[in-house]
Amino acid sequence: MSYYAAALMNNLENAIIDIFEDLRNFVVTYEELLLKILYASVILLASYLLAKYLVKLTTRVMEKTSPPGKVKTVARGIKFAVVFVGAAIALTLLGIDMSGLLVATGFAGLVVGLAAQQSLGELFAGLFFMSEGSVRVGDVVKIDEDLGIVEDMGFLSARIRLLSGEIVRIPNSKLMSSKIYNLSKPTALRIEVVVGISYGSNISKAVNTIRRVLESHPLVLAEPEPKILVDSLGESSVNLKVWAWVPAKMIYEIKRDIVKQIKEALDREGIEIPFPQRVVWLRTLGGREAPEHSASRSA
Amino acid sequence: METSNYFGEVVPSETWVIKYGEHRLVFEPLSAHRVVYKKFHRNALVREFLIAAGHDKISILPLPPIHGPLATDFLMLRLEPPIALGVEAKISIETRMPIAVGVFVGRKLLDIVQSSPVKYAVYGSPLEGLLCRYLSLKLEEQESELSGVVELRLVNNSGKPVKVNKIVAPIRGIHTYIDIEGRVYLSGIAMNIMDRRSAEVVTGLEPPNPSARPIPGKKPRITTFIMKYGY
Repeated sequence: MSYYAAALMNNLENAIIDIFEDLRNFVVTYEELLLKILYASVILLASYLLAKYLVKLTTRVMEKTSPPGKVKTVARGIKFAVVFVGAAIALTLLGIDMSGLLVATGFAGLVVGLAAQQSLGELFAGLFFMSEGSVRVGDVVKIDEDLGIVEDMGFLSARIRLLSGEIVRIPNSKLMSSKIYNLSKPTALRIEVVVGISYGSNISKAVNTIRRVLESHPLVLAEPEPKILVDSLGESSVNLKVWAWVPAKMIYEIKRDIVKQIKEALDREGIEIPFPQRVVWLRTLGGREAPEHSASRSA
Repeated sequence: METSNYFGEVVPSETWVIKYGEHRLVFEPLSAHRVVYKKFHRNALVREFLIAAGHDKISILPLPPIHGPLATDFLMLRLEPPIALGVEAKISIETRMPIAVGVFVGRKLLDIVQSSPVKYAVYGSPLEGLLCRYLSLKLEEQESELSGVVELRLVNNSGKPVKVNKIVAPIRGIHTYIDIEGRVYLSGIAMNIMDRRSAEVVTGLEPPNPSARPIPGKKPRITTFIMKYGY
């Protein structure tokens, strides 16, 4: 048994020596290449760690002053640039000719640029839009006919949650060419409601009734003070113009509320809101004229 | 049990009815651990809760008039009448400010009774001004049911006579206090007029009765705000 054990141990020892010998030969033969791979890996790792640190630093510095979408974009750009430079250095160390790669990249860029002309347009529009800072995530905006809250601003498009709850995706190029009303920027906005009362109604009573509605509404600002103006003498009504300042973010809800409350208050006070009526005369064949409908100018 | 303007713990072994101006709070015990809370305004039911307080207490506490549908950081006090101050004039006024009433289960604010209509105002321009909770402060108002004593200290260091129409105070420094007789106080407000358009406003000052205890438990921090759009 001891003889077999000794032989086995001897074989094992020889096998290990052979492996180390092979390894030594491999290292001696490929020493230069292995060193290059090691350096390249270290550079790649270092560039990744540097990119991670720079992303963290940028986010920390920018998040206090810039919208989250912009911070994310800048951080992504920095990460990409640092890792790209690290990879280029690593490849150069490995002896890969970067000039060929750059030419290939340039050519690929041209092809991609032509193929993705639209998308690149969206991308640059998005970058410009984010850097401009006129709209931020969370703002209430009106873009053409769409009114809603900005949910996300990406490289290619912005996502708007409409007041009805639907999500609309608007391409960045369209944002650039659209008229955008940012309703979150100002602290307060003025709403205007035109109320027509009949010629027979008491104007002072109507004004006081509307004033009470505005005063009792918690979200109609006390300062700047609301105004009620006798604006014009219309065809069928005396038109009162109501100006009230309200918190910008809630302008539409408050306007709807106020219009409803004014109507109800005027009804309660017996103040008539007329609707236009016309007196139509029809000429008969016999030459006599007779009214088809007769009515007063206001209801 | 029927009472009015009560502040403290509610132990509804029987039905409690507490009146605050036009509001009426009713606590009806259903069983040992369940209470129905109802709030009436001019006899119309406006809010109802079923409360199972468990180990927590139901309490009613005075609150500063800062709650409402919008969250703001500032309180605008419109002074009625305005105060005219000569050069280096100092004035200290004790007046009454409307307060709110909070119904708590433990530390959770369940409901609020407002003693004055909730209104807001913008201090500065509508474009970039500050949204404030708005209150009209009558300097010669008699004691009303739902109000607390507040001390205003004004000093004119602007070098010119001035007229003060409003004070914009940071809400964080405004707390309520209650003394052993159940009288309510609010943190003092100091205003130092610096020039024609700006003034320094400090809140979180001791109330006129130093023995009154702050609600909830700790004193407010001294907070300063510079009014730069006029007063």
